[in-house]
Amino acid sequence: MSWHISEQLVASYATGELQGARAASVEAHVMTCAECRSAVNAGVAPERMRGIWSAVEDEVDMPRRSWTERVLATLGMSDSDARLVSAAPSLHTSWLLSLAAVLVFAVWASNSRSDGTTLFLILAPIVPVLAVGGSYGRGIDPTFEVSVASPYPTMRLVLLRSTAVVAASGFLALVASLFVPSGGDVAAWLLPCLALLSITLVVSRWFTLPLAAAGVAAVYALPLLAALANHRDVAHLLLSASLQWVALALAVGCLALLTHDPMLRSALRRNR
Amino acid sequence: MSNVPSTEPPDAALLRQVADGDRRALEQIYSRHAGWLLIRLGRRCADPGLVDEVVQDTFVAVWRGAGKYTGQGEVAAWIWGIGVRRLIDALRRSPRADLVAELPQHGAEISAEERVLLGVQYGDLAGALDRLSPELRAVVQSTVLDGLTTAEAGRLLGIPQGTVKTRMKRAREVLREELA
Repeated sequence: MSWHISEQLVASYATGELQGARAASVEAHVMTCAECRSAVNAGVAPERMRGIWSAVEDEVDMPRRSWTERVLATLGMSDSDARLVSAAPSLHTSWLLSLAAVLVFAVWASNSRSDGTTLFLILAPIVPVLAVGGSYGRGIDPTFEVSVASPYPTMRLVLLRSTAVVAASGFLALVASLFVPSGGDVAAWLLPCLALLSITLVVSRWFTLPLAAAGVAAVYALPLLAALANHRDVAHLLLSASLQWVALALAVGCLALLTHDPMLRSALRRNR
Repeated sequence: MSNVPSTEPPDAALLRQVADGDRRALEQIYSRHAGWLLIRLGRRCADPGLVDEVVQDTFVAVWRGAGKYTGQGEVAAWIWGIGVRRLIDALRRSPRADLVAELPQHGAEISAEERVLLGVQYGDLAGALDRLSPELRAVVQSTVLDGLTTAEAGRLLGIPQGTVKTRMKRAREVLREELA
């Protein structure tokens, strides 16, 4: 394009003096003419340009918030808590996928074997337990060293992450329940699961969280699986009302123990 | 920020490099486009701090969304589209009437040179536009020149969408009369 805006016109446009149709004319031309664009650009102080550019660079360098982090923030969690919680390995896609794989296997088994529903009832409650075990601990959590060294209650972090992890993995297990035959019985794993989770949290006062979770899951599931292999009537036990009551009592007892824990209470008081 | 020699890559090519994650290309795009964007947005918002934030947001959006540029139309117009919409979003987040720039005033001095220049470009249209009331002219500018929808123009100017439509209709009638 051979037509260009005069220097004078550019100057009065940049300072904001130029008004009305004349300013509109400059703007329309500037959209299509690189030469006049750079003439207009000269009207901005270099410091202002540099300042905004360094802010752009900072933001471009910052890691984007993960999907989990955004969900947690939408649910009302503070940004810092959301980042700490979403660093839990068992909230990562790979973990959730492997948990889903366990559940898919359990659903498949329950549909193809006569004792399949029992197998599902044994495996479903330990899925959230294992997920909690994978949420915090040396060698598992990439942010472990940082979180140990920072003035942030460990128990609060464990609880926040456990809640998020149980919500995610429990949801997966519930969805899986829909595909298990024998209808309403399949919800029978919920109370045992709650009991196992609260036992895990209590035990984690003496052992690391991954170890506690693995131990509790093994102590619960291995005898049942062995009994199932020996063709004992495990289903009857798992669906019995007394087991549900025992599970409820255990859950309530452990949660009561936890809430009397001074560390936990201080963690809960930290309401930021 | 000197003139762009013809040997340098065109904007569209730079934008493709930005889409591939080239930070230097983003810096070049920034140095070519941030200046006029600052000035143009500054004419529509009286708070320079907010304009700075909006321009920052815009170039972060360019970095993340460079792949969405279809290759059709001026890159400058594409960036303007992002920038003006970010400004509207920012104004909606902090809806203070004083943030919207004062409507253009009549009576700015026009040099003889400018008269000739504008005479060539617009003829009577320039005069007719200038004779519009500031309210009508702001609506014409937002919708016709800035390429906003009536809803967006309403948000930018702080008036209901229906008002934008009626003012646009009235402006069209006035211009038709003046140019007839």
